[in-house]
Amino acid sequence: VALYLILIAGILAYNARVTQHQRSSALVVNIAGRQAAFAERYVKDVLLKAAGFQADPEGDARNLQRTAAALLHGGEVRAVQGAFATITIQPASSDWKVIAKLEHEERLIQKLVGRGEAVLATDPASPEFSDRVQELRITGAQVSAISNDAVGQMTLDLDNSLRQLRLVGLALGLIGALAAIAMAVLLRRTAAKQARQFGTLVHQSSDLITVIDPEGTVRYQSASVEQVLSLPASKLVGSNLCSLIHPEDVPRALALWADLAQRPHATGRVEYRLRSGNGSWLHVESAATNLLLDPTVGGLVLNTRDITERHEVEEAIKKLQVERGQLLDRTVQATEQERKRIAVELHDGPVQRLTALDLKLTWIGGEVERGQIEAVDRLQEVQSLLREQIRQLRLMMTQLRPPILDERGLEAALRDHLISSENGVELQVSVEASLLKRLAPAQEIILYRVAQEAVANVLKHAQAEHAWLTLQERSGQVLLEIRDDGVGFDPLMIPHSRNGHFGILGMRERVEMAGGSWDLHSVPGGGTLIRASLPRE
Amino acid sequence: MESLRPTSPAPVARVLVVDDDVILGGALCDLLRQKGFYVVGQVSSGPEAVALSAEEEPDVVLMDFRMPMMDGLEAATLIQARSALTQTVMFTAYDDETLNAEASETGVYCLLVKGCNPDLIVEMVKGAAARKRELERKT
Repeated sequence: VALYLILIAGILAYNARVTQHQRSSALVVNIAGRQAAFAERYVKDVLLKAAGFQADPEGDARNLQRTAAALLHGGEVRAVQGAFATITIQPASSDWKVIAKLEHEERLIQKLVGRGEAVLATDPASPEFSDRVQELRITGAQVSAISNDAVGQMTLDLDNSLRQLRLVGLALGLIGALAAIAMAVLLRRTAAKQARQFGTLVHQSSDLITVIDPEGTVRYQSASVEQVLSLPASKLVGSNLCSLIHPEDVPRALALWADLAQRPHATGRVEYRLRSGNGSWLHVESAATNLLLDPTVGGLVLNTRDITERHEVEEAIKKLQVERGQLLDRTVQATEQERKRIAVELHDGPVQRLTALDLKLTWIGGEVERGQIEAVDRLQEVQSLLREQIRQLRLMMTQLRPPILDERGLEAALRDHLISSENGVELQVSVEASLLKRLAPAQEIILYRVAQEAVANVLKHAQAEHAWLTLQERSGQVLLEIRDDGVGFDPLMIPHSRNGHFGILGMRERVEMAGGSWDLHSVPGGGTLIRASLPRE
Repeated sequence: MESLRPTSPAPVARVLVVDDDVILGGALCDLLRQKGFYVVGQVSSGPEAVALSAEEEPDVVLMDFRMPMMDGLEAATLIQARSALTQTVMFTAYDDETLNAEASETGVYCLLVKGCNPDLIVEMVKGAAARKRELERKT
């Protein structure tokens, strides 16, 4: 900006100087004076000619006209006298004000010449001749006066303009210089501040900033290494970083660096263990950037962070997840065992007792049959109630744990009890199972519960007419699919409070805990498909 | 095992009752006797049923399905292997399609679910006895 302002000021000053020079050269000749002389001479020659003196007023008049025009345009006249004067016209000032004034002068002269010709065309003996001559005199005098005034005004204007130009140029130059100084100071301060900030960041950062070559030789090491690894930075520079990395992790680090070295500006991350000055191992994460082609760096820049705490937390989480899985597994097993136990107890206790009671009541009915119709009716009512209770208990036993699952396997249990769950509902369930042999008991119970939950959801929510259940083996996996033609739903829109959601989560968790995979596809109006697969044990 | 005498002077069929629940087995015996059957014995396990049926040669074995040591279906198979004409009526607490099919394949006369009308038990035992007699006539 400063340079620009100084340049403008320079241009203005130059223009002022040129203008002044032109004015000096242009006004060396006193146009007004010469014009007055021209006018007087013209009048004299014309008048002489008109009065009968020997002269060549027409030739003189042309020469004078050209001379005047040349002078007015800033030219020069070698000879003013006679018909053979040499006149050279040069370009005058480009200033429009000067040109306007000169043109005005020229028009006055043209007018004067015109008048002269008019006088020539007039008979000297005529009464108006003397009047014309007088007019020419007056015009010539006026031209002289006007020209002097114009030159004076022009000079004054130019002086003013030049003064203003000088002032403006000076002001602009000063402003420019000040601006340049201010900007330079500001830039220097900012750069210094940034440099200080960068220095502080690098030195006080808990991260290690290291520049290495692709083989691991340290070119630069930030001072933070003293805090992180209890090692002086100077000790590291020149040594190979691999000497500090755990031997098991070295190949991984070298592989990343070698890979990055092939790709300018590429970045990558690697985790490894670093040995600190006191011999302990730190888990670190190192982000590497290839700046080998950057002339100011010329290496791989490593930004290394101590993640020992994070690593410990991750390890703790992993351990907790394993424990949680084991706990869940034990809980599921315990639940299944408990369901089985309750089912067996219902079978062995209440169901047998109630059945026996029913039989005994039938026996009593047989004994009191004759003549005691009312008593028999009552007995039969009691028996109906008993049978309903037995039926409910049997249903409960099956839901708790169908014994057929343990006795005959998953296929039989799916066919018997999932189909029986459609009782009272208009749902057709087709079962297609093609297992080569029975699954491990734990897998059977997982897939049975998934199917049980899925079919229960179809019955509760799907409003389906058909459901298809497929159980098959494919590439070492046991695949269970439950599909329906119901209303479907948006899987993302299941309210968390809905029981079905927990059921779905439970299904998924059970399958995944057993090393399998589970997924659900459903769209509103497009039915639902649940797929669970387990690795064949 | 309990040896029982018929309560009816003219038993229509000889029945062996097998149930690991002794109270239920007893109730079945009482009802069958009341309805005129001759109960040859009441036992509570499959092996006992096989042994007594070899000894007593009942017309019909009314047998629980789920029992310890040996289930009813296995016992029925062994009984039929020894006396092919003996009919078995299976009595179970679970209504399993698979079990029903297996029982049918084994030659079990019918499968009854606990909680059914006791009259149906009587009818089925009668039917089984009739089938035995029919088979005897044919042979």
